[in-house]
Amino acid sequence: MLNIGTSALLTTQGALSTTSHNISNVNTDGYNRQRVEQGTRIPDFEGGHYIGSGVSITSIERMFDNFLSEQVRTFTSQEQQLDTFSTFARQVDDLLGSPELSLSSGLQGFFDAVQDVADDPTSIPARQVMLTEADTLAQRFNTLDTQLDSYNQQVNLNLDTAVKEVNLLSKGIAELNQVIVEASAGSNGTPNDLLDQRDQLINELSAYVSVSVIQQDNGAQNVFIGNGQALVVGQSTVSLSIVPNATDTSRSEIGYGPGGINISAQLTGGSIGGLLTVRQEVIDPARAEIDALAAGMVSTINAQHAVGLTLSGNAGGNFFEPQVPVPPATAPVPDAGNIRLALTDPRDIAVAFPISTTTGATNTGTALLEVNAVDGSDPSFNATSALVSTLTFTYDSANKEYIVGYDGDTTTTRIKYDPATDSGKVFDLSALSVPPHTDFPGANTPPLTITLNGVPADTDDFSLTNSATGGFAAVGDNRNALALAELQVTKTLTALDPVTGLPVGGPPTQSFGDSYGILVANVATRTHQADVGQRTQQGLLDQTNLRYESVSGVNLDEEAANLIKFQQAYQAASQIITVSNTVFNSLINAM
Amino acid sequence: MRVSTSYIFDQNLTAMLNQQTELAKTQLQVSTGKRILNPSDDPAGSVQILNLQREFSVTEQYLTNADKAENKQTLEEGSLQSATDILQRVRELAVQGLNDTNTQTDRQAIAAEMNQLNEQLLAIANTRDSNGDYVFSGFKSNSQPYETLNGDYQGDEGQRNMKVGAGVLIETNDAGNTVFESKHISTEMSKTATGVGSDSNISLIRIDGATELSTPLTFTYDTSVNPAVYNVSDGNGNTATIPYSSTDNGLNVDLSTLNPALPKLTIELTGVSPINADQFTLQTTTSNQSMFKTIDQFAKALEANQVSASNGPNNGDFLTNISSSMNTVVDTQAKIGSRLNAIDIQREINDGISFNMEKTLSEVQDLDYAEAISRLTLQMTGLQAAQQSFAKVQGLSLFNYL
Repeated sequence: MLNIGTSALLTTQGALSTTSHNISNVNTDGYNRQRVEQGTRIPDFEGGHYIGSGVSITSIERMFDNFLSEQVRTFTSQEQQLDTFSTFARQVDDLLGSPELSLSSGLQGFFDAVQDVADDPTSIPARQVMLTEADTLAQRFNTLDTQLDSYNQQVNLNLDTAVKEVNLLSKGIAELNQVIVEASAGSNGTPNDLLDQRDQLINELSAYVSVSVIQQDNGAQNVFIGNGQALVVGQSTVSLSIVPNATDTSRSEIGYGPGGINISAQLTGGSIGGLLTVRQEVIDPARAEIDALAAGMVSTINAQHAVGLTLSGNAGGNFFEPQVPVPPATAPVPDAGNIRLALTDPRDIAVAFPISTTTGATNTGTALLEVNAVDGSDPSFNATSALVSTLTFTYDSANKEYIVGYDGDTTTTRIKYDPATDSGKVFDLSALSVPPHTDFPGANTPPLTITLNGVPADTDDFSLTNSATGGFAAVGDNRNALALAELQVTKTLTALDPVTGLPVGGPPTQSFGDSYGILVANVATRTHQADVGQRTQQGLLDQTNLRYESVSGVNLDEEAANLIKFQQAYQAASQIITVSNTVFNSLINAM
Repeated sequence: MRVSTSYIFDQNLTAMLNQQTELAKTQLQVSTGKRILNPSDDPAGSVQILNLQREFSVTEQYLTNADKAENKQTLEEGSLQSATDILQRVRELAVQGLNDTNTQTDRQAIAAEMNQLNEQLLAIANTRDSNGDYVFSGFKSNSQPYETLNGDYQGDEGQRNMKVGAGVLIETNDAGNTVFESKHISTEMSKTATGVGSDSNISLIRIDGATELSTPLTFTYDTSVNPAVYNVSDGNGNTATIPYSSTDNGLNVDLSTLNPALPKLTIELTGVSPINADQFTLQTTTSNQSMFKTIDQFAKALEANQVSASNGPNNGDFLTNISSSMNTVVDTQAKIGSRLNAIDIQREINDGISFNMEKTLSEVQDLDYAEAISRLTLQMTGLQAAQQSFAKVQGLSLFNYL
């Protein structure tokens, strides 16, 4: 009876200790509540009967659901990935949307200034404003590039920190594996608190990268990342490292093992997965888009600017630098980081067209000839020599055509013009080969597009000459400024393929502003998507945590009730001792 | 289901923090008045805002351009109005000066005023705008269009356009040679065939009204009829005959009295021994000439008291020429008027667009305050409730009763 009492006391003590252990670890991360499993002791066989011999602790159970634990890890990885993604994407989103840095307002300011110059082509202050706005625009590109670059640096830094943490955690897991294997060997109890610690480390690991865990028979757990790269095998670990990207050394990648094999592509989930995807899906495309926009803008504006003549009558040079190099030249390609204003003197803005028109003094008809565009795409084009010699148009009313003379040669070129149907028609002089027109002989074609209007009388004539010839005086000519201003709304850029980041083929479909709008929309959509995804994952994680906690978490009310229950049991067991003492005394006294 | 104590705590805390985040966001919305704080709040809306802002400010620029274009046109219009007034006065002076009752002194006085007016007219042609640019020199804004009264036009034909709407370009200047130069006619008589020793002559002494002859008038002496006549023909089948013999020396004839189809010209026939086949031709030559030169030539003629039709250059045509100059200026004024009109129409369109865009922009980007404030109140109530229930629930524990 004394034995029974003692067994009850010991068992209840164990239960009380476990309850206290639970209470004291109520706020310990990763702690799983424990429960004492009690069982009757082997009964004594006496006098043909089995007499109960008390109670003993069969085991101390860790309240743990492996399935839920795995779910928590999975959702932690996914939630953490989206959280990291959305943190970075939000920064890019803020950057592109901020009015101080937005290219949208930069472009607007620039083109407004261009129009002001078109309104007053000789005004030096207006020209100065245009230069200042252009400089601001270039600097906005530079700042955006610097900022996006700094996000890449931040990604690199965070990857570095994450890798160090992962290595520490995997070492910890390996060490715990060793201790657990040793503790489990030769005893039938389980080292619950060590298991808790290991599970906690694996959970922490899952916040950095998705993991899969394989339970070994000896109690060790092997941890794998990516598509099967072992991180912890029994008591040994394979460490991760930061390796530079093979093509772009400014980008960090995740290296595996002593050889530092790049396994970035295989890693998903956790903050590492988030960092790698946000770089690939938001930062890189944004940089590519902005670089493409910068390059497109430089080449388009430079091409138009080169067509014109400056206030001094010189050919307009590059407006922005560096110019897009002509293959196979290896000069630096313009991108958002390196573009800058090429001009310093406001007089060097080429606002005038290099062509001036003279209507014949004896014309009697109402015809007009207007130069619409000058094509400067030929690399050898120079605005000061765009028209080598005088280009003449003389109307022949019998044949309803203009006889075009260039360099004194009037024998070949003809433009069919019927005033009844063709007034207002635009003619590209380099595309007169289509009948009924006749092209210029040889390669000597003026790079002009003209509009013919009105009713010419027979022998009415027009002549076009280069404005720079014999001294430039047409300082009030604003036609090139109007052409520059038109670039604001002209669709000059082709869309970029969202996957490869390379321009898709076909005709241009975007203006500068469109292109920037699409970039903002892309980033905003990705950020929004990540936000929504993150909230969903957070919800799932919360629910799973609730279920996990409902199995493993400590409830203080429950423990308080247990405390009362075991206290009462203990008091009762003490009574057994007292009673057995009384019984024993009675026996002794009876003697 | 059992719930763990720390989970209750964490959940309550997270809920409160979330509510605070939402509250802070609503508060920021209310304080900025913007519905969209980051593009990701509403990707489609934020792109719409970018586009609307762009369109809006492009339209604002068009309105600015329209104002500038209007200023330039108004300046030009004002100058041309003065020019019209001056030309009017010049014409009056010319009519006065041509009157036969004037003495040379009278005419010199008139010429002096006319010269004065001509200088003013020249100054108008050389008007500069607020930038110091010449208004009437085409693209050559720095070149003075007319340096002297008799000088040639120094500008070019360039017409500057301003963009006052999407695809709407308005001309804002007129080249001087299209404003101040016009068709200048000069009617002259010449002897085109003569017999031997003939002293015959026909001179033009008076021109009334427009005299531009589309075909030359020929006068041919014909002695085959009796009495001998000058046969007049305009080449278009309108003919007349003027009997003339040596005794008629100094005969004045108004052609239109012989045949109404002939121009209203008075000619003087002289010579005592006209010979058969003597021929005279009266023809008009036309050219483009600046009004300054025309007025200057006439004023010089007035000064020299040589204003009859026979004096060359043919001053009888002056009234026609000055009318043609005036027409050119008035035509330009009409063009300016229609451009100003076009600017006004375009401005109304742009104002409308701009207003609508602002409205749409406001709908997309601005906060609905009523909704936001009620949301704010709701969120505040929610947060308060969460805080209170947190404090209450945390107080509940079985341990309190042990």
